[in-house]
Amino acid sequence: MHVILPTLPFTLSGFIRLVITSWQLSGAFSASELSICVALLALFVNQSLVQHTELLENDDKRADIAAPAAGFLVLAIILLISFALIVTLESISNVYKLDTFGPTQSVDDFVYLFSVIVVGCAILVQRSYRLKARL
Amino acid sequence: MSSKLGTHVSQMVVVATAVAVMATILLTFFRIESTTPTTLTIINLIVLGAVVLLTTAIFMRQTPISYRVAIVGFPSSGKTTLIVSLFGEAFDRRISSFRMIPKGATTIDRINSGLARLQMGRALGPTQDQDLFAFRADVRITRFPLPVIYKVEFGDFAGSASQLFSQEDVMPLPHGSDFFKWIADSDAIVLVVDLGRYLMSLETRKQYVVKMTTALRATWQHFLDVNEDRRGRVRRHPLVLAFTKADLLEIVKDEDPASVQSKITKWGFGVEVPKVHEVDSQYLSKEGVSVMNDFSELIRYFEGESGRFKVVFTSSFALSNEKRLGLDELMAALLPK
Repeated sequence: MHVILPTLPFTLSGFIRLVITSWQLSGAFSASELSICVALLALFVNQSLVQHTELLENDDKRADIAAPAAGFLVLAIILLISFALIVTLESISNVYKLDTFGPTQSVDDFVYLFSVIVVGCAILVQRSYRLKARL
Repeated sequence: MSSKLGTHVSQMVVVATAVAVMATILLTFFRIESTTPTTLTIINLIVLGAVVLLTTAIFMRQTPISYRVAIVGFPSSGKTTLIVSLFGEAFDRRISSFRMIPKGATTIDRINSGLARLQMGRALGPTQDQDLFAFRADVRITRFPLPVIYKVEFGDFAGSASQLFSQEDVMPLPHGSDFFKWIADSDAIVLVVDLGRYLMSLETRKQYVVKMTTALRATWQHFLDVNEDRRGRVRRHPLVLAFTKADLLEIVKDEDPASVQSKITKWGFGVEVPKVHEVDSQYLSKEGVSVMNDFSELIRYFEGESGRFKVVFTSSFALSNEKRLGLDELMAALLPK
């Protein structure tokens, strides 16, 4: 649930575009949507870790939890910056009518790769700290 | 704490960012060089696969999987001694299938002081309510293609708390308590039967068997009840019926009842503990069959309930082939496959 819910807008919009464009993969998925979705996922994980309480207290546990919580906050910030960067670059390419704009594609690639890593980390941390999604 | 924080943040953020940036540069380079979209797609997939493999390997080492083992039994049944002895065996490398490293200052202190106490021939004494604690250890299991590290927690509870969990007629169940929630969310359960109480006298033996059968069956049923939404998965969790203080089975051999009682009281529940000694495994196996016959109703019930049920006879003071009796077997039964 931690992973599925925040990434739902990205997968749903991608699927709708796929259907409308008769399963044309190119342009169906948006890197800006993915970056904001995964940024939210990283923030959810951060908040789950911050609010995580241990049933049987152990002095060393708090230190363990504070570290990945901080890590996920930084990951979220990187993705939010990427989102802002993609939107800015897309606007520039639209205004100046640039069909293929190199920097946008590079940032897109970065977001796709980085998101895979963040989602993987979120799953590992969820298994390590027994985080539960609360709606 | 600051050094730990630094390590984690650098591992999670710096590695993730560096890998993604390098892969992006690689993709941009191939995009310029590539002439066909098919080549580009293949390169994309290769880079993506490499990134996933690399980062998974790095992060799996830093984020071990949480694994909880609940040890449930009546007061003075040897739960803490069992946990401390398990660590002792792991330190002595007598449990060979995996490596177990204690984690956290509190666990290390408790384990080492417990082991020192046992070596001095003194019992650990009953766990108090204020001692509710999870012993933590990193357990590394060799698997293909990567070793898996589990963050194992052994929940050590005061026996009085376990009693509340298993006997509804004694007191209302502490459903909201941390103890109850911890057990309900555990990945493996060890139900402890104290052979000291079982062997104490022939007259009370039947009564003890009935009491334990009822209490342990109820414990399992409560466990299933609170895990209603994941019963199928819970039934695949390891469930171990551990007969502790198995070295006392030897005392019954060729002894009169009065002497047996005094020896069991001394070694099973006193302030002293027996010396570590090699035992007659064949005799213990024979006696073990007799014990299992008495508990056959409970064993049959658990065999039908759990896909990973196992009966183990353990002792912290009896050696069999230079290993403490049943501890290797217990750990093998408890850990995930």
